[in-house]
Amino acid sequence: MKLEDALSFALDTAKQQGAQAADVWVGENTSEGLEVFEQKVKNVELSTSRGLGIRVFHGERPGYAFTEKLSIESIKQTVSDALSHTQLTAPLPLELPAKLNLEPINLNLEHPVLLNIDLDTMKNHGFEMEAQARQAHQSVENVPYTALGKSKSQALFGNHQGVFAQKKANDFYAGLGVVAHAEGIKKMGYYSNQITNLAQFSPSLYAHRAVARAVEMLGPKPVPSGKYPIILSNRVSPAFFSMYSSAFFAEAAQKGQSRLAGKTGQILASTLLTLSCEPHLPNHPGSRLFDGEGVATQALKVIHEGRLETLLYNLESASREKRSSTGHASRGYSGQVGTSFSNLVVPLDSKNLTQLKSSHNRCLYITSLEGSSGCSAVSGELSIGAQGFLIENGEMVHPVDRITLSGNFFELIQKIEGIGDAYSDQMSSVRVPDILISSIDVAS
Amino acid sequence: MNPSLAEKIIDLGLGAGADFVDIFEEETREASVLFKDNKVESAKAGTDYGIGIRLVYGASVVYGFTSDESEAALIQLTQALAYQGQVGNISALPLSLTQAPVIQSVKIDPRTSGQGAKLDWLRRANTAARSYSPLIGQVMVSAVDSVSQIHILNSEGLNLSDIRTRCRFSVQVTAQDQGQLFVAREAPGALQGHEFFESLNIEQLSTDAAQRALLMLHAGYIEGKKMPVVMGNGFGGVIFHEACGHPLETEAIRRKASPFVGKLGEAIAHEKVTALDDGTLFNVWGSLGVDDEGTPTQKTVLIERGKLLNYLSDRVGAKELGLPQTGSARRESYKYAPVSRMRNTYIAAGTDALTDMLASVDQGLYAKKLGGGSVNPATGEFNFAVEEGYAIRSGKIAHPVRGATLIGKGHEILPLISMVGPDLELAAGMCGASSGMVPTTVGQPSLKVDSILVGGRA
Repeated sequence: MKLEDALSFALDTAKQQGAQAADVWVGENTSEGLEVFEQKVKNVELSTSRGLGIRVFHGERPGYAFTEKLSIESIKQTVSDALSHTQLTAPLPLELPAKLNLEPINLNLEHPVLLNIDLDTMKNHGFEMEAQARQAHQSVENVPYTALGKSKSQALFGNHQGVFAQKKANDFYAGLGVVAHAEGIKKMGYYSNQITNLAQFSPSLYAHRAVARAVEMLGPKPVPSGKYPIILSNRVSPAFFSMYSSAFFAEAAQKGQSRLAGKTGQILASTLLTLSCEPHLPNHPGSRLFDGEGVATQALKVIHEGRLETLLYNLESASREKRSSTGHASRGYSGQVGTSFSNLVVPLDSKNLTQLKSSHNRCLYITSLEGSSGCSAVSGELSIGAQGFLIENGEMVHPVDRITLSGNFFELIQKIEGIGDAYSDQMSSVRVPDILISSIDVAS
Repeated sequence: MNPSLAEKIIDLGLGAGADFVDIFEEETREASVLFKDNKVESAKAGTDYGIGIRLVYGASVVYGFTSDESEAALIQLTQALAYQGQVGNISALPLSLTQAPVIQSVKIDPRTSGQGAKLDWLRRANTAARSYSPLIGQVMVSAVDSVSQIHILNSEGLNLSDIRTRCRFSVQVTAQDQGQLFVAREAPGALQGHEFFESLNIEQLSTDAAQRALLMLHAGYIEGKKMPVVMGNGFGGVIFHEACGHPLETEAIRRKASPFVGKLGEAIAHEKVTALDDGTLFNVWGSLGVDDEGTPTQKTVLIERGKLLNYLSDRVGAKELGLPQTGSARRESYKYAPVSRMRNTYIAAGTDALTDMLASVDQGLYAKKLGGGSVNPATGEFNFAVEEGYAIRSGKIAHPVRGATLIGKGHEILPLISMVGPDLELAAGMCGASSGMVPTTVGQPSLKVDSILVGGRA
């Protein structure tokens, strides 16, 4: 069954089976990619997957179900499953949107020329990336991971009120991981990125960036444990904010899973910090005109100069506070409605990296964060492995590894005393420049 | 899938020069109920369905999948996969259906008992956790089950079906006091039906999580530095799983991305360390009758008294490295090609008493329960959070400490495990790697690591 037909059939079936309201998310993804190792194609993968997820309401009670079989029989069963779940859940009074006015913005998420890249082209680029990496530096010991691929996705949304919307996107990515070895120390460097303009893709550049990230960490020396100012490089600052992003979701605050409950309107971060959701940035993977419940997206300042302006709402969390959704529902066909940033953005400030490094006589410049299991968006706890460099008087002294950073996110954002003037070149839905934090506990 | 269509696909693949072709058809029915905020927050069920086709050329794998089961779609996919092959003339062998070895007994099939059967277990857990203390601010309880029907056919005549039924119960408790929050979780699982939920001591599980959340909420922070660490049994085994298990998979070895490359037969750990990966444990969360290539699983000794004996291998890894297959090929679903993965991985029981381990430490950390962690298999660098920890002072457990992280390299820690206890315990988890998330069990007895970097406050 075609995706559009499956969506309509599911809504019709829901109505016939007695649902008072329903919305449906249908998705399809196709991809082609390969991995290269030692100038041979190691793995090739071609894929097509699709599925349909439905949310129904009966007596204001929600129920979910999904299927990857888009047949009449399976969709009927799925709707029936969703309705049976309404017998178990608690009432959640909300009204699904009756209209959706999309802004006439080109998000530039479709790149037809990238669809023409074939596996042979990927293979040749992969061979070149790997070969360039192996030749780039004498300390390169291995290039265990070299991968390229393209993917195409389509998502359709519809509800019982007649709202319908769809989005399409496709991309191409390349990346590699390099192991450098010297004096018994092995270090790994990764570089990968999405490519929207094939003419600007340079396998050599990718190879040299990955090699540089591995080689620069050779010869690490310890630093004494203690309190240090740190600069989170723009390579890791997006991950830092991502780990705690759910603290800004209204649902988390409502359910006792965020320390930000009841803090709207309060100054809770350095006045240097502004944090926004920007759903309409061209070429950004998080960009979207409508969210997972068919609500139009909008730019939103979450923190403005240190003050918490709002949390992020979907229809469900907005219903609990009898307010409007901010258009931040996340959804895939197999999941239930959640909350997410579209693109999380910390705006650029005026200080360049050299100025940030010179802000203290001694600081650590962090270029790698390792593992997030010691970090909790609920408590704000942060305990994480890190690697980077000791900086003295603005100059790099030596690489540093096997250190841990320890603190609390909600205290650390109060200690921000500098924000950089550039983002990483990594295409991402999280855009954060270099961040200077005045003090953090470092164990070594 | 009917055998005649499978033969067409296999013939097409072999005709394109593949050495080996297999087909993996999966239909998984999963259902969950989440209880949160004193009510049923969500109830969800769904069906994953799809077919994966793999063509193996030497050590190269070409893999594709689709959820379209029509003959036209599958033939088209196979033709696309064969793009790099050469013309061959090998014929597929006859196919006759067999069943995977029985590795579980399901007394209550989740598909017949339904979602409503979970409500009582969920409510009991919620009540028990909330009753523990008025400082318990939130309780999230979920009961999840899945039934996977697997059909594997290959060019060597395998035509095998398997059913895998799993259940997992999770209690997550948040304690809060004066703006501070702490979350603790218990999440047992088994290769069983709903009788697993019935067998659980739900009140005990829930109060254990509540007790830990409350204890750690008011704990102080540990001072970060290198120190001896006594690790608790059960989920403490995650450190061996991540830091040593992954680098022992042929998927890492064949890429030369492991510190254990070329170390078979060598001493890599303290002689008190024997480690195994066993896929045959009856009804255990990470067990399988056959792996996802249809090979019967086995009990694999990885390290025996400190000496490295085996890697964990799938078909391609075993062939490339000239090793036997260990029945370790796994994947999250038809959306992934199988690679070598762990099943139930644990350090075998020893004889050292926990009290002796503690007594041998003047200043150190007792990491009673670990949270999650991560490792870079190529360099062996790992990072683990301690969910429940205590300072050791003068050979005794002193005050609880929070915010501790263990950091190091797996191959450097193995020789430093100097004491191993008799109290082996297993714990269910989910493991993520290149073939997706798969259910695995980790385990260990209490053990002592002589020195490890503990991250904390200065």
